[in-house]
Amino acid sequence: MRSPYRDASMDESPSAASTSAMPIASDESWDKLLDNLADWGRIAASVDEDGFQFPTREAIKKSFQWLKVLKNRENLLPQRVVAAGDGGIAIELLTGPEWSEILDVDDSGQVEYLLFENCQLVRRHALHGPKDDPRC
Amino acid sequence: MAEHVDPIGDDELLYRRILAKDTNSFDPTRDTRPSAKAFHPNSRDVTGISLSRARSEAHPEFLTAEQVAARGRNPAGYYVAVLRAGDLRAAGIRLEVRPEPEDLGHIELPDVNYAHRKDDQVQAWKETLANRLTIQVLERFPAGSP
Repeated sequence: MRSPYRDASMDESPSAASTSAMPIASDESWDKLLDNLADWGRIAASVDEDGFQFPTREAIKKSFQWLKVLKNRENLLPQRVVAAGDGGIAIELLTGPEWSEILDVDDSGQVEYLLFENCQLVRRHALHGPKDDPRC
Repeated sequence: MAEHVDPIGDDELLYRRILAKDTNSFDPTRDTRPSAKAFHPNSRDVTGISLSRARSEAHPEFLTAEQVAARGRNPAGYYVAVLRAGDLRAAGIRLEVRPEPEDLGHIELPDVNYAHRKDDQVQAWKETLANRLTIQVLERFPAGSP
């Protein structure tokens, strides 16, 4: 099982070459994800009663760009898109006890790729791709 | 100090509240495991994320899962993840007893704190907590009055 991120260099967007087992999604599934981001936009950066901070506008904007890349190039639906609680967003491509791949978008919109094998972090690097993608 | 009087037994169960709505940290229709972000410290977790020791015959003074959820204030309610203390220790995750008046079983994971939330080791611990150490996630409970 591969993802388009595993071999990406520091400045690359996902390549169009790889993946064999990530889910191919319907437009409806994508709409649900993007609607979720829009919902967060209405309460961006707000903090709830327990100190949980919803995603910032910067995090939402960057996540939206990356989700468009995932959809347009590969139609790869992430397993989950999660509000981190500190203003950031985790785009969880796939997660599980054997391995996980996550695009971690922080509150300032900076993106990191994280790869875990057996819950150990084995790869971590910044991603800058979507800003150069004309479709975003 | 309570740490010396009442140490946490390896077999004790621990509860971690997971915000139920709008965060996507847990969706039982899609995955039985929570996201690692369910263990991500927020700005109030300066001294570590909070868990609660489970009520048991040995510790009737501690809270039930429903009561732990009810200590949360988000009206959307909470799921509650169940973990075992000894499993956390075996994974190298330290536990500290920090009793509170309304939760005598309150503990913290001092190394999983806001300042270090992006550290490699903390990232790995969050993955471990979510994907290996969560025994189950209990039903969604309401916030507010238990």
